[in-house]
Amino acid sequence: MSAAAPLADAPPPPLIEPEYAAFYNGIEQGRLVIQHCDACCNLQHPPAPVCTHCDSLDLGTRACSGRGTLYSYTVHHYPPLLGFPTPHAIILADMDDGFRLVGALAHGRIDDLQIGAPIVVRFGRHADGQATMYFELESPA
Amino acid sequence: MNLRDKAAIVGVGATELSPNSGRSELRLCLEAIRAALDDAGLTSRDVDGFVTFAQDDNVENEVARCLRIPDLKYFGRVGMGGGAVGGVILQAAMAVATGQAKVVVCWRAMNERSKYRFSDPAVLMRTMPGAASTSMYAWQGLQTAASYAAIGMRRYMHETGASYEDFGRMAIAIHGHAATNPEARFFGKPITMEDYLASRMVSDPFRKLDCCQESDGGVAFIVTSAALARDLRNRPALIRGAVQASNAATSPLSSYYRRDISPREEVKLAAARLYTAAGLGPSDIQTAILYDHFSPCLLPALEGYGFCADGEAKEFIRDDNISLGGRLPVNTNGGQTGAGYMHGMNGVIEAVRQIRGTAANQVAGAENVLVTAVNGAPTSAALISR
Repeated sequence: MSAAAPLADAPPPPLIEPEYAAFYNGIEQGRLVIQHCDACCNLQHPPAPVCTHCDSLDLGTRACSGRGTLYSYTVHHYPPLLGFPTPHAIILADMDDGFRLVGALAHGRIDDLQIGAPIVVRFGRHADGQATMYFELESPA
Repeated sequence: MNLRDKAAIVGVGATELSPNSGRSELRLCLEAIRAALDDAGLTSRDVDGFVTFAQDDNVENEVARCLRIPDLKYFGRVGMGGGAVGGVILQAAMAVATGQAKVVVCWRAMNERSKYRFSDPAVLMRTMPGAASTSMYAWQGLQTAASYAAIGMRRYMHETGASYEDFGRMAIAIHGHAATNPEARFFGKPITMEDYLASRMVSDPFRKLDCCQESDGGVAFIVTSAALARDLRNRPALIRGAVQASNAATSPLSSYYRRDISPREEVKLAAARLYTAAGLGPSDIQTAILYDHFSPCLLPALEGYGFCADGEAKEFIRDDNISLGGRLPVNTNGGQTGAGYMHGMNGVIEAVRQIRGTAANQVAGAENVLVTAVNGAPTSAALISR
């Protein structure tokens, strides 16, 4: 699942609160690791200290498929971003495993963005070595 | 306790809104407060309460020192950035109605153009509530308020069929009001659909002409009891209702994890309680000051506040319905996109002027004015009445 880093510069490194550690560790290893409630099996993202479905504190993680569909998006033009050239597309995806995920589009033509399009998570590194994820539009089979 | 008509706004003051004030935020704050006290016929010695934004950089002790306040009894702040506007009115009205304070000064003052700009990704990263999620979004290049909100509005377009031209109609109406308000940044500069569609993209679907005009300035207003208000020089602008609203699925401009990600769900919560508290409904409202951080967001706001059904704002805003003389003139001062951005607090000033009958673009027979905070975030709203 790894690919060349899509981006020349590096954005600010993420602030890793304890609840977010498994997610970012997963990214480092090229896996999409999402918080899982061991009581009610809810997958939740962004992470939280408690299950936001059943109140349980019994939280683990699960490696997820990285497949989903494009739910919404924007193409950002101005002002310039920290660590990303513009125009820069950001996608909100409905993931097949049942959670939503925000991520950058890379290796895709902005003009091809369409709500409902299949997308997949890829992994890579910025020039400074920082691990990251991004979305690609899945080409029709 | 219902706060209906227990408190009133009796004085309003503002500096000019400009790209570069040339003075300190504290100076702007004091100019606005002194103007509001003069307007009310009160002095700073009458003041015993403050309410401002959590984000405001003017600290209570310095403001009290400069105003020579002898006995400050209540000082509160409201969080959630532009979601605070109605919450500030609510806190002030509660302080007055419960006897904690008699004369409450509410302000917002900032050099949000010359000193820092919320549109700057580096500024967003230290000011947006929720450091861990803000950082995660920035890590993926989601780094501006416009792009946060754009994701919700792109989905709204998909679900309702609203078009760039519909957003253009909203911008043209608001800028039309700015064009005839001498205090507006866009005074004398109406825009056409051609101008709108030629305006450069900022965060699709938002163009430059959809974005609020970041400004230096200060605004203030004075809240006191309805009983005291009757003895003062201006017609009181009664606080008919004020509410805050949020829920588990609402986060600042990024309510991405709920069924309807358009900026409307929390608006419906606010509207339901506001109308119940006030004993009024949308048909009782003659004009609305809706928080236009990005003016396309006013389409779902109109739906959430019940002026039309979900998805029908694009029809509602046709035929000059939201311009002066229409069914519901919106942002008669030119809004934050046309008059200037002051975190929505300048909208309160306009609501009071409409009630007094002194607005630059006066709505005939304005008796009840809706003023709102940012939608698509923990929000708030108020109804100001004669």
